[in-house]
Amino acid sequence: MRFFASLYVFVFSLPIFAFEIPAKDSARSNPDMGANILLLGQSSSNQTENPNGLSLQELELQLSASIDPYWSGSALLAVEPDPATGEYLIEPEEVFFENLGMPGVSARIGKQKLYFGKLNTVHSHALPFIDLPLTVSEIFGEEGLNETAVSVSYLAKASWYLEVIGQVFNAENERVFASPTTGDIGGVLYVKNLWDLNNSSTFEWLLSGGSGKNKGDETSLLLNSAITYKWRPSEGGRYTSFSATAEYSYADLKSTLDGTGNPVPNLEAINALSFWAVCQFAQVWSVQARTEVAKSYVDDTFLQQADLKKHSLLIGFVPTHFSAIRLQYDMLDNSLNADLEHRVGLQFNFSMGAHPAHAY
Amino acid sequence: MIHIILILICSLSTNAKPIGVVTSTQTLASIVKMLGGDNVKVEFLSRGTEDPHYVEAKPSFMVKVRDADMVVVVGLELEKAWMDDVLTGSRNPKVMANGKGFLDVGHFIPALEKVSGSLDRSQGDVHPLGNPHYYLDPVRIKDVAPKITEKLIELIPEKKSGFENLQKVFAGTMDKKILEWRRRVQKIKTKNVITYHKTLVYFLDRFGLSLKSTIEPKPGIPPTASHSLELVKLAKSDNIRCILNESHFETVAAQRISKEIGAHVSVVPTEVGGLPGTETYIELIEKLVVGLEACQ
Repeated sequence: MRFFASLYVFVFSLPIFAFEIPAKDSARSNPDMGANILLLGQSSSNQTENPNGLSLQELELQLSASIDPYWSGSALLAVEPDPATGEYLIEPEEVFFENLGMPGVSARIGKQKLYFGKLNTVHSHALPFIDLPLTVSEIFGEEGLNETAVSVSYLAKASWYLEVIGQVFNAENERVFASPTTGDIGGVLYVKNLWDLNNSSTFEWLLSGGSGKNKGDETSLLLNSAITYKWRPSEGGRYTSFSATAEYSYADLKSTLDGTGNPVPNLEAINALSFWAVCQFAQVWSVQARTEVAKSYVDDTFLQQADLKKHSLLIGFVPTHFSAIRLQYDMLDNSLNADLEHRVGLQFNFSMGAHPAHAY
Repeated sequence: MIHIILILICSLSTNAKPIGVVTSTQTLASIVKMLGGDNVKVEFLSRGTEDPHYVEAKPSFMVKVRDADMVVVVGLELEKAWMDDVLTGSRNPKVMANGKGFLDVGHFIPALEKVSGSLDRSQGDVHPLGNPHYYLDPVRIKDVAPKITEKLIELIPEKKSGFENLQKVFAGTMDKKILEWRRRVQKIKTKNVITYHKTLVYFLDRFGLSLKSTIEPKPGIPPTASHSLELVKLAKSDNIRCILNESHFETVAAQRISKEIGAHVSVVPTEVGGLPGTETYIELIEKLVVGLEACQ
């Protein structure tokens, strides 16, 4: 509560600071401010778990600015409905400070989406589909791995792009960590390799691994590997592009506890494999396909394990960098349900104000 | 003259190891090469065939900038969508926006189309600091060249006289070519032009031509049927006979309009390397003049 109060005072007192600065400099002294709004209309054959209707999927409010010659800062608040009650909650999705003054190295401290796999660090409005792939959601839940952390990244002196990121964090994620001992820390190591194959195409190989204490006071082990091929012709690249990604995630939770505090018998690891492709065929149009399989747990009690298969198709209309309309169809085959689930989602994606570039 | 240039280049190439310069565009790379001679090793990020507004911040760009001693950008927010990510990702403090090795050429340009009133995104992708395509005006480039030379001297002071000499040679070459281009453009009867994007504002303004409209209804917004119809009406009423279609944009809309009004479509480069035969800045402007001449 105190955090929100402080944040409120910080945000709404900005104009006061601005008045204290000579008028011509005030615009440059205020942070860049922006909002991303996601509206989702959804229709599903499984009404119990996914009720039909139009809802505000998420509102992201972002402030970012250079603080001084050594630090920059970013604060992103997410407003989204609580899956259990449907009431809107405000959550600090990311609040971090970054130092860029050291050659070859940058450091980031604060609450942040951790570098694990291909899409964990990507914000909802920039995801290739309207939901996270199973390689993230089945391991960490719908919010991904988002913890208070210290992160140090190093761009190696190699002829290709070789980035190594080490992250130490408070291991609080309910599904894979949440040790009963307070103050337990976890760690993730992330290695990104990217090669230019020619002027138009690149190949990327990501490797990430992590560990931290879980509910059973044992050490959870996490692994991920993802490869991406991306093609955007250097001639006519505004109009056509293609990318394909294959990602595998693995989590060994070892002797974790169930929701009643008892050790889970015959615990099996979580495995998830996703493959997706995005094909832009005109300046503002793209089609996408995704197929995924996962063996995972139904909820955080770890009592029921299910085999899940999911196939998705999406058509996107993106008239500018600041708005998009996307229609997605999903077919879900859950081993615990007798029937297939068919789901259609129509997402409206709008950005106002400052909008930082999306990562490559 | 060629001998003098060779002597100057040779005098620069002794002793010091060349410094690494990375430019945001291929056009800037060509200009810096002319001003830096053998004492600079120049690489560029955005290729001439790409639209510099919409380049993706490829990680390989960060590798190039990581090792650079100097970064030169067009500025006026041309590279806003990608350059910040490249600089941050390079983790090279000396070339970041306030670093000793960073040069934003746009700071020194008398810009056209600066926005003085209200501005929002309903007007399209408008640059509030002014139109950033000043590099297609050879006079502005000649005038701003000393600022690039100053920065090079700041980084390699021992080569001051060599850089100053190269700058004089560059100014002399540009003066000569500008006179020639002026003479040729004056002979062209067509004075009203349509372009795809507002890329050629400075070029047309310099040579006394008028940009009547663009195929894009608003900057960065794809052509629409209704806007194309308006263009046809405008072209007929103003007797427009020339469409300059920048080479990194599709030509479908331009061809459709030209059929209606009987205008000539010249596909022209707007960056060095944009079309074959435009490997230097001089060749780029030459190709633009040839594109205009083809409209006669």
